[in-house]
Amino acid sequence: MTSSSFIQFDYLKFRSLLNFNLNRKNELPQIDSSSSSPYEFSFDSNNYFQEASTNYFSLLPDEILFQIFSNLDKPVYLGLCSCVNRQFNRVADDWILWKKFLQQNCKLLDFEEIQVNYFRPTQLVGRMGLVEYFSEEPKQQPLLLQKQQKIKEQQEHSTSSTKIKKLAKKIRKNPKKLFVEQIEKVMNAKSESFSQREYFKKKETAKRIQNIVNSPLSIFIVYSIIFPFTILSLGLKLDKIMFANLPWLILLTPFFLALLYSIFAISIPLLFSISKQIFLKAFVECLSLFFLFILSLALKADQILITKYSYSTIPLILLLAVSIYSSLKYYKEKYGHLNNSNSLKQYIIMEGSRYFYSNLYLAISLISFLLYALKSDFNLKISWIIIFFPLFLGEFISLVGLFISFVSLFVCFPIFGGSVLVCLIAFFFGIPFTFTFFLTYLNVSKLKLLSWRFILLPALIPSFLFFIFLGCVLYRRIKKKKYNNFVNI
Amino acid sequence: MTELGKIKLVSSDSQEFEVDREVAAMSQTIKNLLEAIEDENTAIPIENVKGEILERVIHYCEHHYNHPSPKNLTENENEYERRTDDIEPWDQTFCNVEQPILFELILAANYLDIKPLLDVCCKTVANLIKECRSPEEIRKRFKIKNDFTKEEEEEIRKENAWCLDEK
Repeated sequence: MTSSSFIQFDYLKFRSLLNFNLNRKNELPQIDSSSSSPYEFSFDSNNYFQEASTNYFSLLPDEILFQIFSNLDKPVYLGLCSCVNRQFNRVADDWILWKKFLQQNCKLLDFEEIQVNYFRPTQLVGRMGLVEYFSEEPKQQPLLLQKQQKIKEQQEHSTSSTKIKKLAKKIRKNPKKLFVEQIEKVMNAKSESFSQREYFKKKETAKRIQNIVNSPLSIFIVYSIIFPFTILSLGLKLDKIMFANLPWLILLTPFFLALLYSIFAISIPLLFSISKQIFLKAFVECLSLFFLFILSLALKADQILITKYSYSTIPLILLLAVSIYSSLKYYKEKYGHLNNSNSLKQYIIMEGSRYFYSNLYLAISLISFLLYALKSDFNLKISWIIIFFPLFLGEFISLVGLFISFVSLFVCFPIFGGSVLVCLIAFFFGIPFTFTFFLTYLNVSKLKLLSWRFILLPALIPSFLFFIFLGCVLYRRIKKKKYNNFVNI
Repeated sequence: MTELGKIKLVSSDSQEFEVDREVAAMSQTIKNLLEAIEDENTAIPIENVKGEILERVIHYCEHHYNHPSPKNLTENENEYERRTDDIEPWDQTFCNVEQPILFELILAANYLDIKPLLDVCCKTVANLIKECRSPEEIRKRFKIKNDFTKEEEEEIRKENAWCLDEK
C-alpha cells in the first residue's frame, strides 16, 4: 500500500466523522437536566439510530445503564465495565451496585467506614482481594461463613498444637476460608496481633512480587537468557565442538529452570488472589506435561530408562487431549446456557479461534514428532519432507495469519482482527522459526548444508531483538532522567 | 373507528396499530394516558418510538398477555439473586436482534414503562457484556470510544488490575 492511499483514507475517515458530528448536533436527545424522570427527554429516533452507528450506550440514560449493570452477577464484570469509558466508569463505580456483593459475601465489613477510607469500590476490591471471595456461588456464602465461624470457635477452644495444625490444614485446603479469617482479623485489629496495617502491607508486597514475576518484561528476560543458552549449547554438542560428553539431561536443565520459574510465577497468585483451580489447571495442562516431554527426550538421548522416542510422544498426546477437553469444558461452562445454535456461534466468534489455533499447533507438532519417533524407532522409510511437512504447514498458516493481520491493521478491516501484538509475535517468532525448521530439514535430509550451530541461529533472533529493544528502552530512560535532572537544576 | 375494546397507537413515523386495550395497558404510560383520555376513539401518539419498534413491542405485549409467565420477575426478584440465565426461550429469541434494535427496544420499554420488557432487554445486554473478557472487547463489541485520557486510563487500569487478571 502506498503512502498516498494512507493519506486519502485518513482524510475520508476524518471527513465522514466531521459530517457525522455536524449532523448529530441537531439530533442529539434533548435532556432536561432539571427533571429526574427517564421519560422527560425526547428525540427523533427515525434517523438517529441509523446515523449513530457507533456507541448505542451513549443514548441510554444512566438509570438504564445502572439497571443493565445491576444484572451483572459477578464483580469482575463490573470491574471490567468501569475500565471501558467515562460513562461506564461513572455508573459501574456506584457503591449501590457493589454493596450487594460486599454485604452478601462479607457481613463482617463496616461499609460506612470503608466508604470513608476508600471511596471507590474497585479500589477496595482490588486491595483486599475480595474477588477470590466473590467467585463462590451466592447461596453458598452463608454456609461458608457458618463453617468458618465453627472452625474459628474450635480454634479458640482447642489448646493442643495438633488440633491447631489440623485446622490450619483445613483452612489451607480452602484459601477462601483463610481469607475470611484474615478479614476478621483485620477488622478486629485491636484484639488480634495481626493488625490491619500489617495485613495490607503484606498484601501490597505480595501484589508487587506478583506484578514483577508475572510482568512480560521479567518473563522475557528469563526466557531470553535461558533459551539462547540452551539452543547454542545444543548446536555445539551436535557439532561435537563442546559439551560432547555432557549428558543431554544437563544441557536441557535451563529449560527445566524456566519451567520452575513458571511454576513459581503461578504459585504466587495462588497464595494471594487467583483460585487454586486455575493454578492446578495451568499446572496440569501446560507445565507438568511439557516438563515430562522434555525430560523423556533427554532421558532417551542419554539412554536412561526410556528406550524409544515413541514413549516421549505420550505426554504430548495427553497435552493435546487435555487442551481439547479444557476448551470443550470452557465452552460448556461459558456458553452452555445459551441455546445451541447461538452458543456455538458466540463461542466461535469470541473464543473459538484462540482455542482452535492452540490445539491446531499442538496437533501439528505432535504429528511431526510422532513421525520422527516412528522413523528413528522402527527405521521406517518415511522421507524427511513428510516429517517436516506438518511443521511447514503450521508455519505457513502462521505467516498467512501474519499477512492477514498486517493487511487488516492498515486497511482497517476488523473482521480478521488485525492487531499489533499478533503481528509482533508472528514477526519475532514465526519468521525465525520458519527458517530454523527449513534449515533443520535441509540438514537432516541428505543435503547437509550447514553445521548445527548455524542452523539454530535464527531461533536466537527473537532473544537478540529483545535485548536490543531492552537496551533502547533503558537508554531512553537514562536520557530522560538526565534531562529531567538538568531541567530541575 | 376502532373496534370495541381496541385502541389505536400511532408511531413517530405515523404508522398506526390497533391493539387490545388490555394489551396496551401493560404499558404504564399508555395506561395512564387511557385513564386521562375520555374519547376511546382517539389515536394515541407514541412520538418517541418508530413503527418497526412499536410493532415489536406490541408483539411482546400480546405474547405475554396471552402467555402470562408463572413469576413476575421484577416484583418477586430478590436484589441479591438477580440472574441473567433465567430468560425464557421466547424472550431470548425476541431479544436476539441486532444491537440498534435492542437498544431502541430498551428506550421504548423505558418510555412506555413496560418493566418486564425493559428487564429482559437489560438482561440480554448484560449477557452480551458478560461474554466479553476485557474492556477492549466490550469497546469493540459495542463500538464504544475510549474517552479516558492516558493518565486516567492508567490509573483505572491500576485500580482494576485484579479484574483484568481474573478474566
